[in-house]
Amino acid sequence: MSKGSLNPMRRRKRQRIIVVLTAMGLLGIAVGLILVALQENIVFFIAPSEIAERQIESGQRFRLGGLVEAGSLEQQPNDPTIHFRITDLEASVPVQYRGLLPDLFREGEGVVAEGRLTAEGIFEADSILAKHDENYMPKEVIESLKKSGRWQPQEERPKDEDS
Amino acid sequence: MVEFFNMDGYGVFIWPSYVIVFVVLIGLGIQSRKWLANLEKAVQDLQPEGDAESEGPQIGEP
Amino acid sequence: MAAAFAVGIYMALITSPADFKQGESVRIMYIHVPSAWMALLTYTIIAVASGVSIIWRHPLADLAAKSAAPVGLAFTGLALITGSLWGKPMWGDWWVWDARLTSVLVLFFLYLGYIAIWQAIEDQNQASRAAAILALVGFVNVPIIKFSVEWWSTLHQPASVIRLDGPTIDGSMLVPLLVMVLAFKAYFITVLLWRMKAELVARKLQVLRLKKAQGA
Repeated sequence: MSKGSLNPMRRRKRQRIIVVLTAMGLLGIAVGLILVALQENIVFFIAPSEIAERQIESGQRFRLGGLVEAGSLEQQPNDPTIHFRITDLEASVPVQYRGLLPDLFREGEGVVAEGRLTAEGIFEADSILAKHDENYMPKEVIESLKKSGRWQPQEERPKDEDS
Repeated sequence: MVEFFNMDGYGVFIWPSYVIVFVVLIGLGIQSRKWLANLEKAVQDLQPEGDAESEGPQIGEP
Repeated sequence: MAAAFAVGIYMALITSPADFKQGESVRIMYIHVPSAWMALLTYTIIAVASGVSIIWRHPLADLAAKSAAPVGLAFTGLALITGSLWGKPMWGDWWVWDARLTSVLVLFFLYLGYIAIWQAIEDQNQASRAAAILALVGFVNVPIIKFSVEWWSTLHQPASVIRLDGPTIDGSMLVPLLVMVLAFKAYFITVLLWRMKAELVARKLQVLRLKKAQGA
């Protein structure tokens, strides 16, 4: 009759709810702490401005990620090596690479390069991955916007796109 | 037509994607249906009340 | 369901436009994203059903969780494969070990482990308990998958549809995507009901066999 005398079935159910919820909560906290501790290892790439902060030395292998700096892409005739800069809008690093490029690789677009820094501070990449962003737009819409001069690329992306 | 299947060169990636997705989904659907049908048939075979022990020896512990 | 798929595929492959960066390869997105969403939704359903099963010992919750697992496994596998087929031309690689891809691979193994527990433990009550605990423990992975692209630098792009500031995907591509999502959901419900019914019939069959063995 009193509130203390829930029938045993209901009490057990209540206990089980509490056990499940606390267990889930503790597990969540534990996993959260592990992930925070592992933060540095979970990131897929390092931005140019983080290189100094992370004390990366020349010769050390890592992934450098950011935007392909607009207007920085260069290739000498008869030389398969391409040169460009990766920027995170705070710092930028010169990169050289020789090999196939993914289809999304463009000036002003996201890129992740894997390789090492030389003593001169040039990043020698041996693989290049392109990073897609979250924007989906029909080709025709962009083309007609460009034609009418109303196309405004996001961020600081300058106008000249490659063909 | 050729142009459609080529998909600007991405056909080699797009078509396998669609084929795999639908083969797997249809396959899982068929497997689920068959499993259900087999079980229902097995129940039906056991159900008729006049069940003499004409069926095969029933293995399994009591 | 078939109608939703027919309309969805027609829109995805024929009427929807090419993307301004990805070109035609964007068409893979219309099956990749529904697969990935359904992989997460199915796991969430399994986790909720497992909680209900542990707390209230409701047999139907067990059945639902057990029946959903193979469907979720299929969705996860398809999300990984279609993503890989998109990643090769766009990113330049079939696979990378970034936080998003790795956590989805973990989801795939969670599904496998969940199914394996049901297979391996003969006593169905014990199996249900063990499987439910795995499902609940593994649930921490679901928010990790969802937010991996925001918490860490990943190669995988951030969310385009479910985000606070609204979708960053044009309507002409969002509509076909949502139609496909609807088709995938209808498929899931249909197959789930078939499998749950089969589980019920299987239990009935077991009882019948037991009765018969005892009666003989």
